[in-house]
Amino acid sequence: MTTHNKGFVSLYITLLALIIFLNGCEDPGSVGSGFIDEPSIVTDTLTLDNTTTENFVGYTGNFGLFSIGKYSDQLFGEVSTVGLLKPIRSVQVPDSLDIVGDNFSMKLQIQLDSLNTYGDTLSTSEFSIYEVTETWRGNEIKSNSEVAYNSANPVGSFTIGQEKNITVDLSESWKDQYYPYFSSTEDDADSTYRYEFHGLAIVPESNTNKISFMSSSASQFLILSPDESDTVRVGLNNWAYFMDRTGAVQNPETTSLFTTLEEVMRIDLPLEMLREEYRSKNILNARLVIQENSEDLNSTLAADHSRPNLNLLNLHLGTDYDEAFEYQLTQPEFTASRDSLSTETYNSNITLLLNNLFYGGAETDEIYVGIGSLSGVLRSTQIYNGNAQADRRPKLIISYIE
Amino acid sequence: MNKLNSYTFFTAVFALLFIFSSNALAQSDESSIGKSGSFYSLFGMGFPVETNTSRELSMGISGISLDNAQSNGLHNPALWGTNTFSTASTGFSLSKFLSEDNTTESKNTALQAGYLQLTFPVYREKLGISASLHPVTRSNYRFFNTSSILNEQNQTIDYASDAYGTGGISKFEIGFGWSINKNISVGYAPSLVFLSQNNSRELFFDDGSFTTNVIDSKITGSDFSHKFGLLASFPTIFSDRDRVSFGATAILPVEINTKESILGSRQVNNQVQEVTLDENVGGKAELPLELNSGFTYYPSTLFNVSLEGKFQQWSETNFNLNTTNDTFELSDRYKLGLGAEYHAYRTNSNSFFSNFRYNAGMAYDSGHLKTAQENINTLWFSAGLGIISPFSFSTIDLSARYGLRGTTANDLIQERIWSFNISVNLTEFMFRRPKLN
Repeated sequence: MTTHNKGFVSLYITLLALIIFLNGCEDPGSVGSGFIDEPSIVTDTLTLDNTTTENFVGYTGNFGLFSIGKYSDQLFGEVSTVGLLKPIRSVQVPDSLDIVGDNFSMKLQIQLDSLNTYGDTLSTSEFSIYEVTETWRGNEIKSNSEVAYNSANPVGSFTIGQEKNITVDLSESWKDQYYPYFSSTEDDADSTYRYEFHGLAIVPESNTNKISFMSSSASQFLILSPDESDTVRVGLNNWAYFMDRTGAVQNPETTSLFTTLEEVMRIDLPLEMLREEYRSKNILNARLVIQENSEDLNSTLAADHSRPNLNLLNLHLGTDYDEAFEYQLTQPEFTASRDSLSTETYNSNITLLLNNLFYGGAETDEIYVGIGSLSGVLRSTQIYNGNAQADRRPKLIISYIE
Repeated sequence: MNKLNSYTFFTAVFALLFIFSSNALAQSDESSIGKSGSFYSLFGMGFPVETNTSRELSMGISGISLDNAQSNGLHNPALWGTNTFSTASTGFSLSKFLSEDNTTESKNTALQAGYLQLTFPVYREKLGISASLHPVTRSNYRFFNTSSILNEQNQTIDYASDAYGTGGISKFEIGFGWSINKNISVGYAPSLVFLSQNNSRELFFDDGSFTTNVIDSKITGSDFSHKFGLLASFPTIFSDRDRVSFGATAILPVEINTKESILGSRQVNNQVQEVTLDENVGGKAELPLELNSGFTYYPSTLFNVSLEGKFQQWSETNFNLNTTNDTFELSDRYKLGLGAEYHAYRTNSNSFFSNFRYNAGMAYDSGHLKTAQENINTLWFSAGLGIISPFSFSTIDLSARYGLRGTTANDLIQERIWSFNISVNLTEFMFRRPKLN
């Protein structure tokens, strides 16, 4: 390489090293950020007046728990629930057990939910068990269903005090009705059992003042040998409850919410106004705030009485399908959770709903506020609706950056 | 490897690496540090760009009086009438900004393609035309800071903010220069001025109920601009071999009607999308009247010295973009540059250092921004090197500049700027006549 070329090589190497050095040193920082306008959050609170109370009939069968009992709630009226249950038909009885033919007895072992009781928690409730006299299916039973039972001939009876596990002797006559299906080897035994054997109804007696919740998985029928030394456990085939509510206090400023959907609050968002005013805003979040009627909820609950607690409301968008099914059993689009500081309010972040309404072509501006239930616990609360005084009505709080 | 091959090889490698480096950063995310530059480009339509060849930059001048028939210049259309050769030229710049205020400092690097220009002599040294694409202003700021705000329940929410801007005003210019006689040339260059500027801010909140907030402001607009140029050259001023050339240009004010679209990133129908929050928001941006004048004195063919001035009437311009700030206002801009160059390659010496053209200069720029107390001025010191092809008049020019901009007084920002530029000027390359055996 000539001296000339060596000179060029040296020049270019020097320049390239300089470029690499400059590219490598970076530390962008906050110098000058003081001259940029600080983002300021503007919050608009919109009162939602356009609410209506809607009524639906919820499903009550084949959940994890089902209600039995009766309670006179000063706010929500007198609630009476009748439990329905039916044993599975076919049970394998090992040859080693001393259970031959119909030489056995039957009992019902009831396991109650240890967390929730609705009513007078210190009271003792009384129940009678009757034979159901018509065909029913757990998945079809709704809160207002009426299933007939033979109240003239009790199959058993029991009381519930503070205990959570109760075993009830069942009548010999009912066992004798069950035995043919239990022992049948006919091809159509299952079909015959489904339509001809109707199970039992657990009916509260008049002096009962609490509703308990039976576990469908932990409650079972027992088949016992004559000396009760051998036991075969028989699970539940179908279970449900139906209910009757009378005398609920009606207040036009409030909407009562039940897991059975007897009342649901529908909010119609002011969609046109929202689009006009907020579509062009740089929205940080939008919250739906709903206030609970904690004053009446607390004042109508005597000492030692309780309602199953509630920390979450379900917010469903309006649907044209089976509304009871959608609002009770499907995953809600949004949930409103109880505010940790202001415990009488529920908050729901519905920013995504506004995004869909503003930019995604969504047109559904109806929000159904209710209490869904997949557990079967009978929960209830009362919230202020659009007829309440302004500071108690549902609110849409929109925060945006200016 | 003979002399021709090694020259070509190393020059090509260097140019490719420089351009590759530029492209690599340009292709990164918009918020990339490779796009960030001066803090002061935050305001208005960005900071005025010195779109010059590295040769002109290293002399601290605009080049309106730099009469040279073998190369081109962007700023004086009258020069195009004196062209002897067809030329194609482009340039890139790499600038490092070391910014500080009274409490902290930051480093930003801007790597940008500069300009592209083609010139053709319709009648050699009589009538020439030029087509070019070049920036006029540029936004390339970026700030990252943390702070806190209050929500409606008066709870403090911490957040981090990343604000950055890109784009600016560019020109697509086609013009001509006409040499009226040996001494006087004039030129006219109309251009399409177009504004394309993005200002973005990302906010990251330390609160689960606030998602990351991304907002982009895209401003566009266009109008036509008119530039006029004059070049007067007079030989034998003080001796038989000297000459002086005087140049002047005027660029008329331009009012650009702008449209602004505000875009945000939102989760819509379970997908994160860019949505239009607002669009076609009308606005106005003006480029000021610009006057340039200066002269270059050539005592001999080996040496020349230039003194040039620029005036931009920013105080008379208005804009209502959302990049205004109460602290700063526009003010008239004055720039004075003094530079010299030494053509060592014309000495016919065999020394390695005699292969180049050397340039040096300095410039004072009063800036187009001021506060109540201070002008945001810049003082530039520059030097450069021209690599001349031994077989044509093509050149590669390199320049290094050091600038001091602004002040830390009155809680302002001072920037120390290192800027390196490379420009490639290919002369008569595409029209070389093949030799016949």
